[in-house]
Amino acid sequence: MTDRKTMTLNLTKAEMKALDSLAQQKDLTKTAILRQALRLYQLVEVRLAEGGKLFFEHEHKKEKAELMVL
Amino acid sequence: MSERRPIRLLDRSTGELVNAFLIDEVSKEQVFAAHGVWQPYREKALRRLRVQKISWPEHWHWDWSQKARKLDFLAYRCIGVEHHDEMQGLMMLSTIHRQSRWRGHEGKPTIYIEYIESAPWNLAALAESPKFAGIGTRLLEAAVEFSVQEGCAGRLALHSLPQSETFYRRYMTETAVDPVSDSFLTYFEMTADQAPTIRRLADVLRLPASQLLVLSGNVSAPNEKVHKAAVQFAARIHEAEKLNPEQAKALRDFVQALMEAA
Repeated sequence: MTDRKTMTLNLTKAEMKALDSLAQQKDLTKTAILRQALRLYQLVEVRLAEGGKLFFEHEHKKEKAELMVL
Repeated sequence: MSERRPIRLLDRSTGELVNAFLIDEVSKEQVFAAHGVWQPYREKALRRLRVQKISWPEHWHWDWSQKARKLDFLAYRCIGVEHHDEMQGLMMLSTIHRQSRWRGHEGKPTIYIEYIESAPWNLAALAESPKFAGIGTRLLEAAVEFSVQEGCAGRLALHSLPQSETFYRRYMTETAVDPVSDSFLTYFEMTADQAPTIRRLADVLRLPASQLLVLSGNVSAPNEKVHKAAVQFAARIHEAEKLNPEQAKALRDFVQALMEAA
């Protein structure tokens, strides 16, 4: 088991609402949602730095839309 | 820091169970080291198969030194099985949850298994006398456990090479919808309900896990009595090898219901 550290997070009401909503929708804890976000963000950042692009593709129409990540 | 947990493997040469360890977080360096041992064995085995004109396993080209680079990211986790300081199997998981495509579980977070492989000397497709059995099963159990820790309730998904489909059909179910539309591989999922219980039942009763799945109600129970007995047994059983009187009775009832349904 990885060693863990605790931190306090300051979120706006809207941010907390979004977090609550995602946690409820996915049936995950808020910590798990934030952990997912961090994993994804780190992966995306490195792929973009390597020259990759991030797209959303419609499952049926096959239309692609590029997602801008700064 | 990773943990090492004792597990058991079957030594094929003696038929005895031997002690091994499950490593819950294999480091990049450990994967490189395993590759360094596996690769020469694999190359030698492939040369022998070429001379003997025997087809190669579909994953002959897998290179764990490349896969190890994924461990630079939080998005991946590697779990391993070790025996006497020698890696006997590796599994790479994606820690970014996928969405289940299973009917009734659509959209629920699921752990995706990227790669899973036993050391080449344990593979019947490469070794003349495979050394250990049970590695794939122990790794799947570890994946279920990780899925539970992650809040995914034991749900797993993977794409299987054609040669491995028989193995995965013992534990998982092919779903109607594959998230990768152009994949030539078969997409499997496992739900929380079917994961450990079905395997234990299959082992105890020496029945195919896929048929038990149907009987247990994950697909559709053909008979209400069978369904009820299976659920009652599944709810009570904890460790198939050590049944208490109540569990043993539940097992007998279940077997009886199976026999009556046959």
